[in-house]
Amino acid sequence: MPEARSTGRAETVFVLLLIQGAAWGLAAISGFVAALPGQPAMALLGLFTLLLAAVTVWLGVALLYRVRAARRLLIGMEWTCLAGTLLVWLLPGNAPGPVALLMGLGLPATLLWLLHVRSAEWTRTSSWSAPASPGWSPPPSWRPPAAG
Amino acid sequence: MWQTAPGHGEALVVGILALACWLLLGRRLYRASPVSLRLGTALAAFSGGAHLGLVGGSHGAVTNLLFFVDGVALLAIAPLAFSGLAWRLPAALLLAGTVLAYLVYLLAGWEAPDQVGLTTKLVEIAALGLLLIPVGPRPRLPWVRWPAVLLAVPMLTVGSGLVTWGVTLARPDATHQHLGATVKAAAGTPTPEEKAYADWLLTQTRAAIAPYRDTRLAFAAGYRPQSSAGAVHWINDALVKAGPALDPNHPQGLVYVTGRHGPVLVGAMFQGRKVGDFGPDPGGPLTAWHEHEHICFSPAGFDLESPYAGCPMGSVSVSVPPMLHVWIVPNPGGPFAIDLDQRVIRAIQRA
Repeated sequence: MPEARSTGRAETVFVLLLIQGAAWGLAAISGFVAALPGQPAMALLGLFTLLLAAVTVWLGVALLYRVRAARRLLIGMEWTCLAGTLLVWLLPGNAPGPVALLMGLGLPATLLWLLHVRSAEWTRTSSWSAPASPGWSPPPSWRPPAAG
Repeated sequence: MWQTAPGHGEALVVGILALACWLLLGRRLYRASPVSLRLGTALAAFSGGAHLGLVGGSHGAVTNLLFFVDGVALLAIAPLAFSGLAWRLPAALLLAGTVLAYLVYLLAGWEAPDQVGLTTKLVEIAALGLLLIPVGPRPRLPWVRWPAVLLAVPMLTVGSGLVTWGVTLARPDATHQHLGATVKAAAGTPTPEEKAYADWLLTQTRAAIAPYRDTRLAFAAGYRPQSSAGAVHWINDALVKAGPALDPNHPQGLVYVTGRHGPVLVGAMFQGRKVGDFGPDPGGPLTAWHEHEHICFSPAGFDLESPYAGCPMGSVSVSVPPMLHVWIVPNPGGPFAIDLDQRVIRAIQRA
């Protein structure tokens, strides 16, 4: 396999999505805790947030398997996150601190930068592609490439 | 948690400078390497710079020494990664150790959680994951490195957030009575005049808002409900715009708890126009104004923003203007407490 193909974009995106998913998970916990003192509807919001965390990580896994739709969905999701965050920061009294800047701006912007680059690595046709056989198989980067 | 400790802001600047230096100087080295390695080493360089930026602060000699050693070691990861030497395992251990050491410092109370600490930990967790993932034509030990990433990254991210949250809740600073509420004056002994004023304010407010036990009259007077659960606040926008005057006859808000036979008036609320707009405080520490910061608000209710500045889906982070509650029902925290006790709310809901 040529060295130029070893960009590791999908793997990089996956790691960053793991962090984003974990951060969503923490926000979900906040919703569940708020439901305890008489705000049951907050548990529903917590559940939706937990689903979002799961979908985020699942899309990251799909990207590792070079599922093309995952990239498109992630681009849409990250743009939505970015736009939503910027809108929230426009609200009076909402001055973002370093953590908010990192998670609300830095992380989605980095993901979008990585995802927007058109590369053969996003597709199954690349030399890192997963086998066509059905059933579970490890992502391409788990295995050494074929000889030659 | 939401503040930046003195001297820590400068550390962030040093970290950004270290990152910029590595991006400029290391360009020739990393040009042909995978994105994960480039980004991972850049983030390690940022963290190294931030740690060196903390050296010399009021942390004590041992911690300063640890910051220095850690900073130099983290800065060394970037050039070492392209030297051909075995670097990955020591780098991963160093990054994981740095994050865990910070959590130990928080739990032991040797350091208070702040924005710079949390930012650098997130950066280190990302660097750890990026440096561990097996990428390239012939990645070594992928069956060890992938599980390590899948285990370490989510666990350290959630763990750091939970520890930060827990420590902030368990050990609030002097101006925080609980997470999310900053009190204008939390301490002090009230003078007889201040005590007399507080008594007057309670009596006058109780009498003035009594007609609003009937929510139809409150609605006619311009008050509108802002949420639907717990202690429901009805706000009069016209009075809010008029400013935070402490006039018992014209409180900016009314608070109801919905019981089995309808809403029960439990108190009034005086409110400022915008964040930082505190009202008069003739009652001293007895009638201290407070403002809520980093609250996630939604029609379903409100909760606290996570340490990573995240809110549950459907809610938005808001910081609301200063307010002063006057509770006309018996409240364990007192008639001017920040919150109405949950036991009181549940008792009214059941009544």
